[in-house]
Amino acid sequence: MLNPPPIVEQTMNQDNQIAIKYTDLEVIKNESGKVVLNHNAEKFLVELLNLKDKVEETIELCKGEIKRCMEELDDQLVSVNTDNLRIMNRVYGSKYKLDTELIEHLDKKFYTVKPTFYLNTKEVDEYIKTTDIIPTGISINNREKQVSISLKKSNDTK
Amino acid sequence: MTQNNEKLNLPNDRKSTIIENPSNLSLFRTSYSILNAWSRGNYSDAIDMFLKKEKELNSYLKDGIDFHKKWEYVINQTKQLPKELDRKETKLKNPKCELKLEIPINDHIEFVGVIDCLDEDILYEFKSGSMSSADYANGLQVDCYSYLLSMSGYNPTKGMYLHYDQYVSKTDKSLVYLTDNRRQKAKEWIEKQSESMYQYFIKNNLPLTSPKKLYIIEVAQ
Repeated sequence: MLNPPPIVEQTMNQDNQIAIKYTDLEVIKNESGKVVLNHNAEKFLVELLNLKDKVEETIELCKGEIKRCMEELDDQLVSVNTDNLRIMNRVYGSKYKLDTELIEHLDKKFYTVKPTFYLNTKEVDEYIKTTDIIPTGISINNREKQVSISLKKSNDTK
Repeated sequence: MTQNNEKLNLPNDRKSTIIENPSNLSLFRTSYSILNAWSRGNYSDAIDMFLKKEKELNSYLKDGIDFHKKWEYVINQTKQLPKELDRKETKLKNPKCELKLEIPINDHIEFVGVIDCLDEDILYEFKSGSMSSADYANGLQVDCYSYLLSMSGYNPTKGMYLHYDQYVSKTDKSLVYLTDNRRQKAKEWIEKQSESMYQYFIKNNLPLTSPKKLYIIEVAQ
């Protein structure tokens, strides 16, 4: 017999902080394993994943609003630091991009060529299967199983 | 005992009294730059700075000094932020440039700082070179100066790092909200780093500067 899913309460308290009951999250954690034996127990996890999506979506909306406010105040402002937050509005990633199709026109001092190695897993599998020997230069990764859970989209038929 | 508000750059509602150091200990007089170098493990740089050893000026340091002089001049003349540091050339209300303050940390350590510009409750730190203002804002400089200012009777609420990269002619700024919490952390950091450096000097018989005076700062009646 399954317990009814806990309601994860999100409320604004007097200090305008979002309050989430950690006790509800603890209940969800304890009940989550039941989904393996009874698919009806999915309610707990669906609730949790919906909450995660909502929080992540809200964080992204906050970032957009913060960016708008920073640029409105001063478009030269790149960071705001409070007691517990460091907010940055700056560019990330490489400053320049290399167009390999035009590489012959580029002076060699502007780039470095590095070899890239790709492992041919199918060939290695076949070699080990026929010889029972791991080729020199190859080792087997110690991989651990990991659980993944995700919400199905409405048009997700898989 | 003498009163000396002018030397200490104190606001009008504060008075200072200079007294002889009763413990007769040599005072360890240190600054943010020295303590920052010490905290990062650049011990040799920190000691050289403390002992005021002549340092050969590279082009970066020379640029920094020249820009600071120029910006101080522009602010004093125009009462607005220089164009390189602020596209809008914001008008300032009551700017105080190169504001030098010093406070006792305990009976043997004194902390000194020169604030690039204080305008009412906004503390400005000017930077040149290629390091972004956001990187400077990861440090504790304006927090330490905020503590220094608050102990000297000022009440800063915001710190602004204004950075001009002269190599690409770009400006960026970082805002730090100067709260009691940050001041407390800065105070603890100053105490920890300066005590550690002081103990090193004592242990290794390195010379301490010895002004042999202490300041008492209080609200004027």
